[in-house]
Amino acid sequence: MNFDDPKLSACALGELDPAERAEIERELASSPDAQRFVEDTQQIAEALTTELKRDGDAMLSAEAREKVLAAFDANQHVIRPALWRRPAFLVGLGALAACLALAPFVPWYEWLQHRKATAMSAAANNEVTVKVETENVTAAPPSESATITAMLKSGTLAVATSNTYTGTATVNNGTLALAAPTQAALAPVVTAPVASLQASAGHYSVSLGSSVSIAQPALVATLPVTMGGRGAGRREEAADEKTLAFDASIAKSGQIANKTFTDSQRYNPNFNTESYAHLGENPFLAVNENPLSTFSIDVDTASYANVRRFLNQGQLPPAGAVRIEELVNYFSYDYPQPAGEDPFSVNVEINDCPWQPAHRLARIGLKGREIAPAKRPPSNLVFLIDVSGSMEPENKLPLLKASLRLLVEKLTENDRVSIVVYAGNSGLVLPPTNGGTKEPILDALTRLEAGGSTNGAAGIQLAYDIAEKNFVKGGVNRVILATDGDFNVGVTSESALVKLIEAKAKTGVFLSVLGFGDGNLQDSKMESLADHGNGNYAYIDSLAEGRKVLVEQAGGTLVTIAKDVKIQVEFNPVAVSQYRLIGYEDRMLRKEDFNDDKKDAGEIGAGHTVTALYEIAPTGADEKKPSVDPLKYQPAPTPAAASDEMMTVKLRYKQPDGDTSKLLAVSAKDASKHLADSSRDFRFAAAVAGFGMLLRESEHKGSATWDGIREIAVEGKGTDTNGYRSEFIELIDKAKSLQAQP
Amino acid sequence: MPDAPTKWLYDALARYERPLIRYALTITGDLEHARDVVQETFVRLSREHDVADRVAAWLFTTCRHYALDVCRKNNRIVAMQPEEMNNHASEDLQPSAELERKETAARLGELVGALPVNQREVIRLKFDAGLSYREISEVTKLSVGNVGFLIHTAVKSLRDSWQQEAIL
Repeated sequence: MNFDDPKLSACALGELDPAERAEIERELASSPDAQRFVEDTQQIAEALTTELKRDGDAMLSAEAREKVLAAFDANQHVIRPALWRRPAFLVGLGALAACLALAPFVPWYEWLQHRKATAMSAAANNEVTVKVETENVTAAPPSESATITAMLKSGTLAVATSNTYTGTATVNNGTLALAAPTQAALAPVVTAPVASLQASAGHYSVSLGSSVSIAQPALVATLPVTMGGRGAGRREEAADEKTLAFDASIAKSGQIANKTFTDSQRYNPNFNTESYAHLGENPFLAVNENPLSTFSIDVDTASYANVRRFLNQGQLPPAGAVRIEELVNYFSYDYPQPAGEDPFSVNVEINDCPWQPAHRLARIGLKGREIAPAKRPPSNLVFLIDVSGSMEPENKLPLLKASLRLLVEKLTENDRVSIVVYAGNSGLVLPPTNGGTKEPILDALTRLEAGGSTNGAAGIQLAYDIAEKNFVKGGVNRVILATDGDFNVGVTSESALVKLIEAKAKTGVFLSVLGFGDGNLQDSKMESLADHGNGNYAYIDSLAEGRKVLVEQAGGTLVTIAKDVKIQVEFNPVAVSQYRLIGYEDRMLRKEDFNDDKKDAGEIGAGHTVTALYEIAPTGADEKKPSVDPLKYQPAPTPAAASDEMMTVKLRYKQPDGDTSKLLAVSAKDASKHLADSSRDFRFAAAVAGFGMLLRESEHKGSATWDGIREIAVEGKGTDTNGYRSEFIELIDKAKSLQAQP
Repeated sequence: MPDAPTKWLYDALARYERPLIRYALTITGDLEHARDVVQETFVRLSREHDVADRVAAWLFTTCRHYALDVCRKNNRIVAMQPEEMNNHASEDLQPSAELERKETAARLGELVGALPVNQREVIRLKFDAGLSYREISEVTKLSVGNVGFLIHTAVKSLRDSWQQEAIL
């Protein structure tokens, strides 16, 4: 018999179908040699099975495993075959079914086990409470328990400071305080159909839908919940499926109080792994108690581009993605150039507050000195480009390459460019190259291809090494990280990465972050990296945006003219009773930090404008009860307070290579001007802030309406040579129609 | 959690995590890369909704794709040089039975390492990962007949070597 017949080994390995097998076995019967061959093959197979496993018993790292498990849960919860295969249920629910995220049936304790590690970032958030619309409470009988899908009106989630969930979930008087294990996400949707939720042992769950998210909205939180109170649900409709019955009863009683935000419009987390840090809003503060307001400037603009992407995709952005200061700072304002030797001018304007007639709106505007392209200092730019598999889509690596080409065209022989890529591992694809010789740079860009997984940390290290090796004294030394932000491999921890970036920023190498793509955008992580690297974060969703960030604002993006810029506003208690800083929630500093030169703050680039808005309640405006009685032993108002000054704006900044800060102070009076007297830029900035407040469903939005802010935006539009402001007005219309949809 | 929608994923992870890493390692030649590739593979798997009945083939296909990608990125030649394989020298001249068994196995490893790359790959998919010819065919894009031929050839040459060395 011929041993060259592969059927022999196939037979030995059980790979033959019965007919073939019978045939071979007939042949084997007559050939002892062939029989021996088959036996040997089986012995070899056995030995190989053992031996090949000896080549390693490596498993995934704990962190990698965590990520994989998180992806499992996040991505598979969307499958709801058991539910969707129930036509009766679907008919009963109608449209509501589509907008309720139905509870996943994973026991909560298992969910927890997989979440412990990823809970860390969320756990850092402080406790907050959730407001629930309670007007149509439907409660269950005390003895009943059910799985409910609670989605909350303006949700924020109380996150337990420990990673382990042990606590209770209660809804009382419309406030849900959840001690949640992790990055559960809450939808700003629907009424919680219960008066009281109490946690009990495991088999009930509340699925917290979307949007107001903590760290990872893709995850659906599952909490053990029992309902208390009196019931009105129509359980009989599907007695075997309490979840469904309960949902159905909500639908039938039509008790979705605010149909503005439905899950399908407002960013469905189930298909998404974008993450947004939860951001509360700065509250009104009383001047007697908090005369000083201190914050770091922020020139990031990413939030605007991201919000625009959501709206253009027909979704309202999650509130956490709306950072109002970044919306306002997306636009350039026509503040005067600095006159003296300071690197920026400070401009204060006070007018009516458009959404709160009794209040005043104060705008603080900084303008960084413009630097003519020809006078731009020499630069040492290291592009650190994510070429992992996730960067493949058209709006990621291809857009990145096209955007960088625009920048390369503008470089001169004063510039040095290097390109480092990272994916499964990192590599230098373009050694430091003279910006005057475009060809090798463009060639290197053209050759970039996406594939593999992401090891962000190693790439960052390499990029910084190259930047340091080629350091240009007195020039621009910058690593420009372009990524979708999914550092999913190899980073030991985010804080280690942040430490590295911080340390490098001290050596004079700053970091810019360019965010790309959707579906996987790690917004808060990228913003935080840029902040720690003395840099800026821009989100690029189109070639036009790439041009804006990398060409029109190249000066600002690349050339830092002042660093650690802090603002401290002192309000005059004679003129101001309360104030609220709009936006900058993650930029707040303690009042002592202002004079502390060791305390890091934001950078301002050449030609950048930075705008901050305060909503001010003048004394006498809020005749309601004051929060505290007047103080008896405090000194009488000083002569300065008796003046008609409303506030003094103090700034501290350092030269880009300096260590000691310089102080600037500007006082401002309220000339009782009206909105009609205000500058165009003032009106436009106010409209953008109002837009952000409406998107965030801010409790301070007052009388703001889409139509109202649109009107102000149109008045403030001005010449709008780039068309950015017109585009904003279109976004108002989109947001309005999205919120109006049922 | 028998009914959880993620059960099949957890099962796949438990079953294939190690074989996948070993397989990826033979392509990338670097354990960290292999781990990255396998992590990426499972994350990708979580987005798949209709592969539960052909998980093995899907996993190894995807893993292979990513691993080759990594190699291409690094301009690496596909790894697994023979010298990287187990290479115990037979110093002990009077091996105990235990040592002998170990050495036999080590020798088998060496012999596998000496096979052509394409044979090594199918051998690993067959005997380490436990894939069927059909699944291997899907992963490697070779025909089932071709897979059978490669395995047969590999087995035959291993057998010949063993016979020469009187191991069998």
